[in-house]
Amino acid sequence: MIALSGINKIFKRPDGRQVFGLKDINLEIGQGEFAAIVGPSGSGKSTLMNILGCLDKPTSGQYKIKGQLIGDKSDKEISAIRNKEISFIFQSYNLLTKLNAIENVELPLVYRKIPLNTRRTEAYRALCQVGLQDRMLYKPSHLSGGQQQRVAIARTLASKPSVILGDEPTGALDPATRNEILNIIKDLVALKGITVVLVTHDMDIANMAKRVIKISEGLIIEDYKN
Amino acid sequence: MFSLTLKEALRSLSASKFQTFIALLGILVGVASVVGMFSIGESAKEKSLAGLKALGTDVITGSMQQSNTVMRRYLDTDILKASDVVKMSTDNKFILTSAPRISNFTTVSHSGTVSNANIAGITDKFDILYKQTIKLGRRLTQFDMEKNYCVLGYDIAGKLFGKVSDKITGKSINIKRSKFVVVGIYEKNKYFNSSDNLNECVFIPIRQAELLFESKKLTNFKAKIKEGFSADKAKVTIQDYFVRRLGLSVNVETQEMLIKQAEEQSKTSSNVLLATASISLIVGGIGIMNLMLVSVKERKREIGIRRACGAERSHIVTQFLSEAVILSTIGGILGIILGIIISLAISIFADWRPIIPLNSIVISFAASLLIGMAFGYMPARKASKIEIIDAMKME
Repeated sequence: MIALSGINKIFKRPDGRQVFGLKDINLEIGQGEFAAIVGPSGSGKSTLMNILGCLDKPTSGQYKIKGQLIGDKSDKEISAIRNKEISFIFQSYNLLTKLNAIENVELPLVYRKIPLNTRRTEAYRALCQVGLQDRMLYKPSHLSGGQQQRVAIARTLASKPSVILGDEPTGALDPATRNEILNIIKDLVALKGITVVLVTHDMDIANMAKRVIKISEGLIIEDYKN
Repeated sequence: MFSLTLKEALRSLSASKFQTFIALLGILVGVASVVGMFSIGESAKEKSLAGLKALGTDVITGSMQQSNTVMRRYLDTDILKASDVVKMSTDNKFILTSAPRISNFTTVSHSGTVSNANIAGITDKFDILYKQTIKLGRRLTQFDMEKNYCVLGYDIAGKLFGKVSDKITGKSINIKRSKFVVVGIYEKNKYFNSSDNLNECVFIPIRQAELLFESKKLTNFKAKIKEGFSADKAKVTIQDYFVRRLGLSVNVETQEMLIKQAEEQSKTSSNVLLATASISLIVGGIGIMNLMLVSVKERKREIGIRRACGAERSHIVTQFLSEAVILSTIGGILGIILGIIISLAISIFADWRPIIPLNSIVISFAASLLIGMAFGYMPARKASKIEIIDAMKME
């Protein structure tokens, strides 16, 4: 499903010095796998995640999703991949504040040019799955953190991606809501054929994962199966 | 997709109503002035042309050429006099009648009320050629030529006597140091002509004007030509006549030429006004660009989220561009409404028929649309070029 080979990411510091964010990363994650990426802050986890999600480009190296080489694709083609194949769950939810819950859930479907009635039905179904159907007309500012994260997960469910990428999805939540979200993530992972990659500090999530990839200073230092 | 873009654009614009309103103010004023200018230009043109046309195309107007009047101001022999015009009209059989006129500005007064007025020395033929009608009293006849009688224009009568009434006739007014008895008041002349407003004139016998201003120099004359006789031929013949007879070069113009000149003039002035209005439209465009640039900066995170959910660069361009176009279109529509209100208000004040040309509305609407696109493109493009990870970092 996902294949990285010889990925380097070099950042330029303001003083002109070059720093390796990622150094010669070789990684393959198969379809239906559930992997957790762990490591201390500043280790390059998020950089790796951004590259996996086609939000950022590596300085060098090859990245393939479903056998398609990302490096030489146009913005239009990469946008289509982000739209159809990948879905993000962020620590900070990343919902559009001006849109209500159901409109937020619909967003990926809008860019897929799915007609209003169909996408509304899909979005409603996804909100039901996370138990927020009675809040569908609420703006994010009127929802709790846990509810906002559930809306974000509903957005992922509605878009039916091949790969779900999570960047500290429970990082901003209190213990009770965290457990709630963990249960929803468990359900997500159980979906047939879906690949889930989570960056996390949360050892409970890491232990849930079938595979753990440890990163330090831009290098993969451990890669084991639970 | 389109209706959603529209809906979202309206939503984000209404999020900051005051800022939005300030930004579209420029376009609003620009469009209002385009619509207003067009309307005022058309109405004024119609009114002044109506005045010229009312006199009929069988009338020619003559005046001394400018260079001659300046150089020969003090030489009594080299000026065009009323008597020359009278002789001209008897010598040329195609002239039915002629009306010479001397015009000069001076002060007139009536029991303490002083006003500046255009004093017009006229003959008894004036009323026919200028299509003036009497409202009160009577006009000046050939028997009044040696008398200190005067007829007042409608507006100057009001200025001197407070209001126009039949009590004015028989009263006397002072022009310079001479006393004149008011024998009549003309009906208000509807036709607008800023340079020669007959409603502001005091009319006295031409002989009296010659004495009053110590000069026989004519300002101009009008002459009516026989039916069927070509006005252009009359013009050439009369010009030749004055050169041959008096060695004077007199400028004769047909009514058609005057109409054409007035049309030219209004075209030039409306072009100048239009250029001024387009500058305010451009300034309005800059206002919109500014709002959009601020908006792009404030909504970086939104752009990042949309891109992460699969929006292409072109979607982002469309989104911001449509906001700019909606903004300028709203400004344009409000401007058209304001422009129409202004035109109607001025038409009441200036007492003319309001004309709001459809093309002025179409042009200004199209211009506001175009400006929205032109000035919205740069911010929209900028929005689409933001790197996703930079946009997502913004809190």
